[in-house]
Amino acid sequence: MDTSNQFYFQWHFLANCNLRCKHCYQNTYARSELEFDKLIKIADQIINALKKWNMFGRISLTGGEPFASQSLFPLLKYLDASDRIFSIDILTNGTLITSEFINDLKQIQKLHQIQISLDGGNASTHDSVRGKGSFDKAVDAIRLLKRSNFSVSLMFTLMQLNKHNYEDFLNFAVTENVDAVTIERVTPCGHGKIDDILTAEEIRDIYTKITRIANNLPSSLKVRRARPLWINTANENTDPDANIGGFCPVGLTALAILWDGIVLPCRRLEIPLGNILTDGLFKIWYENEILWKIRDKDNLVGKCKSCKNLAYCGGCRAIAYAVTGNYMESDVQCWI
Amino acid sequence: MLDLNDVYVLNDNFILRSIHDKFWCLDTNSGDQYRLNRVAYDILSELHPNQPISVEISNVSSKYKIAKDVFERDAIELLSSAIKSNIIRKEV
Repeated sequence: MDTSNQFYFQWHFLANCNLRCKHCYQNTYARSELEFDKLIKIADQIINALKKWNMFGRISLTGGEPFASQSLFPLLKYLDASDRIFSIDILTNGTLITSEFINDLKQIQKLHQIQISLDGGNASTHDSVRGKGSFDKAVDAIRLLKRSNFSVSLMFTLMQLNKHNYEDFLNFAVTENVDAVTIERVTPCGHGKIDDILTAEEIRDIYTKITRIANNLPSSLKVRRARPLWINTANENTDPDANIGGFCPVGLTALAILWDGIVLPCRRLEIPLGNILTDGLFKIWYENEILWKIRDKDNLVGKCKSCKNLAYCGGCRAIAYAVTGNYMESDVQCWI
Repeated sequence: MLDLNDVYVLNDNFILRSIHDKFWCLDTNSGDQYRLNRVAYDILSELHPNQPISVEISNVSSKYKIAKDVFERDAIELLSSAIKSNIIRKEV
């Protein structure tokens, strides 16, 4: 199957969560969920759009906390059966994953990876962001999943509260033999605050240090860097297999869908585009002026527009929007 | 045969969009996409409930250095195709 023609959906199919993380981009944690037939209506729209566009879908199912939902496995099975969806990830805090889920997870043929959020390499740092006891539970889940031969990645949300701990986090990932890590900047939306974000100089120093660490990792751990700003560290990279830098697919080949059907350009770019259940995916994707504005790089303002690295970066539109109120503004954490 | 005195408009589920030198007519119901060239985009953009297509063709042709009869023939072909595809409808 040629899946080079890909579209990414990040589907937050429930809001309910057992944690209340300090940087969470959610404002509400409704316990009620969409009826399953409505989830299927959304899934069918996704599959129908992929067929129409002759594309193949990569879907991340998340929440809230996906393992808190009775709909998780029926929905996974439904998506797994579509020939238009080639890869499914689950994004979770890991605290509800127990051995009883393992057999069900094994049934999902296209389950590519389970991503567990880990905001520190030790309990004190992680728990300061996510709550007491959450680190131990997440670690138990990581070990259980690795023992069961699942591909596991970790997501570290970089913020003031844990900026001192990224090296411990990387060491932890190596020790636990996880497959990949993503270190992503916090976006000041939802519970995230402007004071949580790092300065451009702090980001520069940390990204540079991470690149040097990644050059000499003793394991096959993949440090994901196909994201905005990482291209600025390319001259430090010595790993020929590393994929450094990447133009954000927002508005082009990616969408986020929330628990009530609201569609966002990206989960962190909190501008509602419409509701997939009432407006329909095609109407949102074709009509929405915000998406058309984002699609045209000429609409960028500030230093991103004339940057030499534009083709490999473009900055994070969500950070620009959350900090300046203008989603086409410069990425305020860029140091060049 | 298309009557140039008739009025045509885009059907409600169709929209026109462009970025630089790329042009589309998009069906927001079915998801169908039609890639257009600039002239076709200009002709469809000019459709208006208050003017016959003869005026629209004349308006657009003035932007291009093409013989009027050639332009009109091509425009009629485009609009006929758009009628067949239910992209445009006759206003009555």
